[in-house]
Amino acid sequence: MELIESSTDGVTIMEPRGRMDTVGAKPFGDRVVELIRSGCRQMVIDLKHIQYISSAGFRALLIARKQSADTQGKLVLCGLSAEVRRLFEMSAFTEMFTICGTREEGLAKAK
Amino acid sequence: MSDFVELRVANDLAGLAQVAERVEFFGAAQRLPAEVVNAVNVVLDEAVSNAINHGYDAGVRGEIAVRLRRAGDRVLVEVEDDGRPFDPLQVPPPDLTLPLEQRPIGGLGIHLIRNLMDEVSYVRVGGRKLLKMVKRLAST
Repeated sequence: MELIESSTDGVTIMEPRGRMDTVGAKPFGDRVVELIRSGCRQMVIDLKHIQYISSAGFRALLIARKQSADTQGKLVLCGLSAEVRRLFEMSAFTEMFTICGTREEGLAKAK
Repeated sequence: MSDFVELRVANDLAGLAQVAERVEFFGAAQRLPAEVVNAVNVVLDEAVSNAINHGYDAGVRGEIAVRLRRAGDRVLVEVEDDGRPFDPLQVPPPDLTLPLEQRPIGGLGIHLIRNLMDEVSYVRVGGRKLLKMVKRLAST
């Protein structure tokens, strides 16, 4: 799992690349939690380089979502492929997140 | 072009990456649609990590066999291990209607297996357990 981080107008953008599975979800989840703990309140997670997400990945996203809600932060997802979106729907995760098509839309939502 | 592959991995999480690579290699060789390869990768991540995390006491060395077979318009996926008996199909489905605050962390794995595969069965063979799954190519 490769994690690419950047920042635009105070919004942190996290772009994971690789397999969002048991192995890959660990460094991803740990880093997102670390960022929120260290004060990040506006975050976009761009999933365009993720082909699939297993339950471990959903677990990491759920922990991040709960933590973001607890700190009144904004957490927005974008870049979901049709496949990843289908997995979100299967897991009933779609309605728990703010999901945008593009990174630009995500950035606007996270501000 | 091989239509069958078997991979044996130890019961530690390092084996999962080997399994995912093998699935992608098999999928490319068989020219399987990306959604089938992704579905097989998701269910194997669930099944193999379950076997590793719940099947063995700490320090006990085990072996997990993963088999992939192409049979016409079906892909057969098997996970066989020598861990303690556990029938994942007896796990009740998670309550997906719960709001964020009450949504439990976990419990999704078996749900994804049931939804991504067309057939799932669990049998005990001698001292080993075997999870058999079928994905139909036309059903994606």
